[in-house]
Amino acid sequence: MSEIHPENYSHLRNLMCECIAVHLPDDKAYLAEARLHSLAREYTQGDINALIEKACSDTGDELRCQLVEAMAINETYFFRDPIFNESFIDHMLPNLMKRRRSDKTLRIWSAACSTGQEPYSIALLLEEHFPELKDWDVQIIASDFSRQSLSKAQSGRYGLTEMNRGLPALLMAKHFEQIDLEWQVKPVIREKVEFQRINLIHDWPEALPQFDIVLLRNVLLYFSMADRMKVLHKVRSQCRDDGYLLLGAAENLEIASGFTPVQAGKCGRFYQPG
Amino acid sequence: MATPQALVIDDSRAMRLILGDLLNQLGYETHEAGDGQQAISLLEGDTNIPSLALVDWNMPVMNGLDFIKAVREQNCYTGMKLLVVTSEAEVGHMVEALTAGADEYLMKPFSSEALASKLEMLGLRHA
Repeated sequence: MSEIHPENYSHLRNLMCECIAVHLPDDKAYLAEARLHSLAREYTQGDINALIEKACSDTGDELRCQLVEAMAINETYFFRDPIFNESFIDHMLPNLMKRRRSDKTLRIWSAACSTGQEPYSIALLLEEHFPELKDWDVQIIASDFSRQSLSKAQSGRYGLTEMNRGLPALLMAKHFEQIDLEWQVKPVIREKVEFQRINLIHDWPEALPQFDIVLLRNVLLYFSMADRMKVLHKVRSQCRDDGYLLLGAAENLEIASGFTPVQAGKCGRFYQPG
Repeated sequence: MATPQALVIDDSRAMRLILGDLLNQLGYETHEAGDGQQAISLLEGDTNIPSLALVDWNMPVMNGLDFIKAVREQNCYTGMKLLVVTSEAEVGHMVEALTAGADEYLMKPFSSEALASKLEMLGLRHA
């Protein structure tokens, strides 16, 4: 495997920052070498330096896009945070359903859905725990900047490693179909999730609704403070006044983010506008 | 607090070693059996019932499914969680195991994170 020249790693860091606001640390060149390996084989006979140079000098955006997508962290799995599941089932949903019982609408946004396990987990929680929502107008929007991740998310097809992590066997048996060596989310669940390509640091679609719940988990930690605040202010304007914002288990929000932390006993912590 | 006990039932010695090692790292003391019948003999000869059994599907003498059925017929083992760990990756097998009384199902090959995630689902994460 070729070693990345410092100037090429610097180009790559700039590219990641410009395209998706992600700041690669100085000492993570080895990660780039691992993540860009197959793309380099496809375009530049395995030469990662030549790949970065080609992407930077290409007039079109295609290779740059592929490079950024290959570098992005796609770590996700079904029902990732058990405390979130509890707070969703015991606190957020029952409260929201009380408050929305007249218009019977619910809008949920998984704002960095990666390969789709998060929005499908939400759809499964709704299906299993809130059958009364069948008569409601429920919209789950799932977005990511990566075409590759969205394509996989939309297919709803997962391999053995992904199925083994976080997904209870009962739900797997009930809501997935086996296709050769993969499993696919059954259409009735798949149809509940609407996928869109949204880059959080670029303009968002005007048609995005006001949301009751926004999941922005394990994303902000890769952004600079300025970009975090920019994204949070946009999330605030997209969130209903009594809505909820969910971050990753190890994430915290700064003061003046537009949100206040709420500790809901054993249900863990989430954020509300204010 | 007493060290939690786990029973690893698999006809492959290598797999028993791997599973035992992973469970040790997760804070368990492990016991081994090469098939379902051996596992039942172990359980009957010990008053200390493990909180967890990892059960392979295909084994000689008594397979995993028959072990699960036998154990679930006995009231004294209701507190023991049964996690099937198998290369049988068909939904039909999964349904059969769950119907017989298995608590969870993990498909081989699996990562240590996947095993830990299953234990967490079962409320058995100790370390």
